[in-house]
Amino acid sequence: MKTVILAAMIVLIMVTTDAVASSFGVEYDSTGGLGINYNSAYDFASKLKADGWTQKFLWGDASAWEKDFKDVSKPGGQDNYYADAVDVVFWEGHGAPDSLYVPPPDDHYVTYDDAIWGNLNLEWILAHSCSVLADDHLADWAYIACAQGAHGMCSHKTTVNACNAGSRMAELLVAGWTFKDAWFQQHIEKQYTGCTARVICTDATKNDKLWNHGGMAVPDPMPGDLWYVWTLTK
Amino acid sequence: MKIGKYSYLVLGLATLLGLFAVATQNFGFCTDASILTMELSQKEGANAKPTFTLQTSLPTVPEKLWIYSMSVPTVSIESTKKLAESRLKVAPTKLAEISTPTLAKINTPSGISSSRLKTQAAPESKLEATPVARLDTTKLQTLDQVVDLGTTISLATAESYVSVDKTSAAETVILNVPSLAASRKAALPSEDVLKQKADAYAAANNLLPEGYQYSGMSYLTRQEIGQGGVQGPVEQITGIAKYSRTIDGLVVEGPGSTICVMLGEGGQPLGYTKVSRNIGAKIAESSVKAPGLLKTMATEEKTFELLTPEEAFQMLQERGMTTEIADVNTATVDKMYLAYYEAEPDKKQVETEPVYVFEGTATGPGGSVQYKEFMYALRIKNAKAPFEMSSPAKAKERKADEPMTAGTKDPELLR
Repeated sequence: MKTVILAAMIVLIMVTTDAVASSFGVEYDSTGGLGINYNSAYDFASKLKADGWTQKFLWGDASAWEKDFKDVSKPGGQDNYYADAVDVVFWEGHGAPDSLYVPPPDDHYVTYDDAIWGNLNLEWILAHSCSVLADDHLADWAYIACAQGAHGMCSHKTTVNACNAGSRMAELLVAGWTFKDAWFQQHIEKQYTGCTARVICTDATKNDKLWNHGGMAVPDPMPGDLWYVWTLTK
Repeated sequence: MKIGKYSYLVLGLATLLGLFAVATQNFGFCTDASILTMELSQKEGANAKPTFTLQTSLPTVPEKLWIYSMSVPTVSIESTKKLAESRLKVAPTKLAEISTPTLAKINTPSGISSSRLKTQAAPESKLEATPVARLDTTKLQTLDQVVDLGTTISLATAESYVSVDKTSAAETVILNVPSLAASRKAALPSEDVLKQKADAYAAANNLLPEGYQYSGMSYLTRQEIGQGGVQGPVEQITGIAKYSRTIDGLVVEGPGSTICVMLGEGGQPLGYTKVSRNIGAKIAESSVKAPGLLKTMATEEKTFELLTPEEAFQMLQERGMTTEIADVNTATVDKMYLAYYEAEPDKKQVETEPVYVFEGTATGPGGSVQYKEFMYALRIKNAKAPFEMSSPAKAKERKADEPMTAGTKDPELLR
């Protein structure tokens, strides 16, 4: 009997922790001289962990896989274990208007039509990459990748210099800033003049904060909701 | 006869040696780069060696450009408190009492569980008004709670935010954080009015060191996204008055040497961000023209060799792009110029030197992207390719069968 109770308690603790804890995941590319991206990824993770968040995954370089971001309904996709299994994802690495660019050996491209984020758990994806939110595929990121339940996405319209954005972003989020304002603030501090940052979200989610610092809009955005782009050129 | 033959041989060898020496000598350019510690954010792009087309004229290079030392004041908790006190005009005592129930929630053993107390199905419009939404910032409402966060020393209150970077003394002061997020009820004033307000705020707070000038207004904007892309009017939310500086007639590029004053409703200042190290003494010079050995020996300043614009453009074509960009096939160079460079706040920088800057549009299969590329203008700094620089720590190896738990919907978001 004692054993059963003990086992039940252990299961309860495990289940409760997983169900209650806010969680995040980080993937990065620090190859090709992008060494600062390693620091950015790890600093983001350590600051959120210090704030009580659960780190569900942290993979880099050859261990950062396209399938982690790809919807489980698509061939090879396993975002139900990774990108869509957490509340916040931080990607630190290369990007193009139609994709996040994960390093070899996996398929390089996480395109907007690989992703259906938020239909399980994800609220915010932060992509510190060049040009993912350039004009060309803005609507695709909003209405194909995010509109099934994600709250917002942060990235850039132009090229962006590699820097330790993760540390500052986490610092501002933990200080109670909204995702949108924190993204633009770290951008003003760390990027070159003329660099353009962007955030896409709905009107309901524009003031989302970390769950333990003010929280996010409830319920999730619905398919059919109107999305907006917020733009700031330093 | 034999002696004469050898004489010709010796003379010939001497001539060859002389020619070799002339061809390889540096004419007095300094080859010791130990004082050149400035680092650009140069990384290897992924599939980012496009065919560049020069669509502008090459810049004129001044006869001489100086290299300057840079310095920053010491940052401490005390200096940050003083800054916060002066900028926020707060007394160094507790600003507000926090109710006991609220404190109880803050002090919940698990920070995470307190997070879940927040969302009692509050609609977005009520988020700012809920007591729990203020928890984690309100508890920091005293100057005594200026905290050292490692890279910055910061003070976060419910309304305001102050942080000073420990490496560069870069300052961010936000007088009203919630208003950053607010949508405008009315259009912002004209740029002229915004500039006047920003100038007045900058002057009142002594924000602009010598050499800074107004360099333009940016806006945080909001626009609808339709199925085909952006649509409808562009709504200006916040104005950002920008100030930058020049050194010897060249603009200082990069994240630094920028002071941004944020302006909200009616042009009301919301705060500022200042990334500005002190420019110090001249520590060396640079030129495309060789100083000559005799001159070098006669002067104390070291002279480093500048790349010519032609060489710089050639080098751009060879190395490709060095940002977080991927997959570009073609790129135009619409602007090319010389500048000085100041890095982001958390990077140590004790000297500034000339760089070449290239601006244009890069195009790949995914679309077109505006870019800005920086390149060391000193030949000796370009000896190393960006990707030959310090290698990152090795990423953790991953196995294909790594056990994972599938995610679940957040309970409060279940519909």
